[in-house]
Amino acid sequence: MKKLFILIVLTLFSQNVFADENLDKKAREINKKIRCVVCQSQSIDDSDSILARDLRVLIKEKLNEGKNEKEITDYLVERYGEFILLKPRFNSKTYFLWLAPLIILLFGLFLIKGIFKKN
Amino acid sequence: MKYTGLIIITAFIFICLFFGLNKEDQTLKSVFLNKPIPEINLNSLKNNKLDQSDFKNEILLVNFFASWCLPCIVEHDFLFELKKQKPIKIYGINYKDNIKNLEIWLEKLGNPYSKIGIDKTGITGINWGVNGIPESFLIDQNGIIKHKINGVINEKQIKILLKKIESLEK
Repeated sequence: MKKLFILIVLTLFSQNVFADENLDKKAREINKKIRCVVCQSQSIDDSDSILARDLRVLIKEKLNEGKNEKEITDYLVERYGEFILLKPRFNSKTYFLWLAPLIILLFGLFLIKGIFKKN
Repeated sequence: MKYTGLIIITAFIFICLFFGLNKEDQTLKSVFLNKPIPEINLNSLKNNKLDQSDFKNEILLVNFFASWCLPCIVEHDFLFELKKQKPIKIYGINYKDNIKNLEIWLEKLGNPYSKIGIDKTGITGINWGVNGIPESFLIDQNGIIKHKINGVINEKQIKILLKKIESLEK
């Protein structure tokens, strides 16, 4: 009976530990995508600034409340703008940003083709 | 003539870089500009509250500061100077500070604030999109954020603030 009790306690305890580990892992995944707005191109995962620390705590709290990644990033974008995302979203404001490499590549190919044709 | 297209594109990129990198205002604009003030519900220093109801019918300046913040000491005199030139209410939001240190700080340097909200955890700072202190927001009579100052309010910023306040009063 005693052994069974210990087994149940250990099972419950290990479940909590795993849940915490999963939450930590998820939090770190999000932290890596959030820019430390007071640092030079660092994520809040890499930064030791006060704001980065506060944001890490906030993200963990939001995950504990059951919020998902999109809800958390939306919350931060509402307050800091898209700049807070290390990878900007694909929308009307960032079309040029995302498509510029492709446009430049196509232009380059077109130019090379033109030069070859002339030669 | 062969490389006209390439020259035009290169010149265009350099012109963009020249104007983009030479912009005087390199600071990030607040996403709250021309929007109502974000959530605020703080205990104030003298056991009162600082909340949304305090932002009605008058032009205000909200200043995020702390006693541990060295630039805030530099800014402090300019807040008095601003009040001297234009007697508007300034609400201070004390960011992640120690109350005792704050009280000593205010006793030493004087208190330009009409009310001081205590943001112990920094969550109000995050709700207002504060990057680092000091940071200040000019709020109009309808509780709309009209201007944000990243960093210290100095002589130049006072001039800008006075102009903005004047235009809001019209």
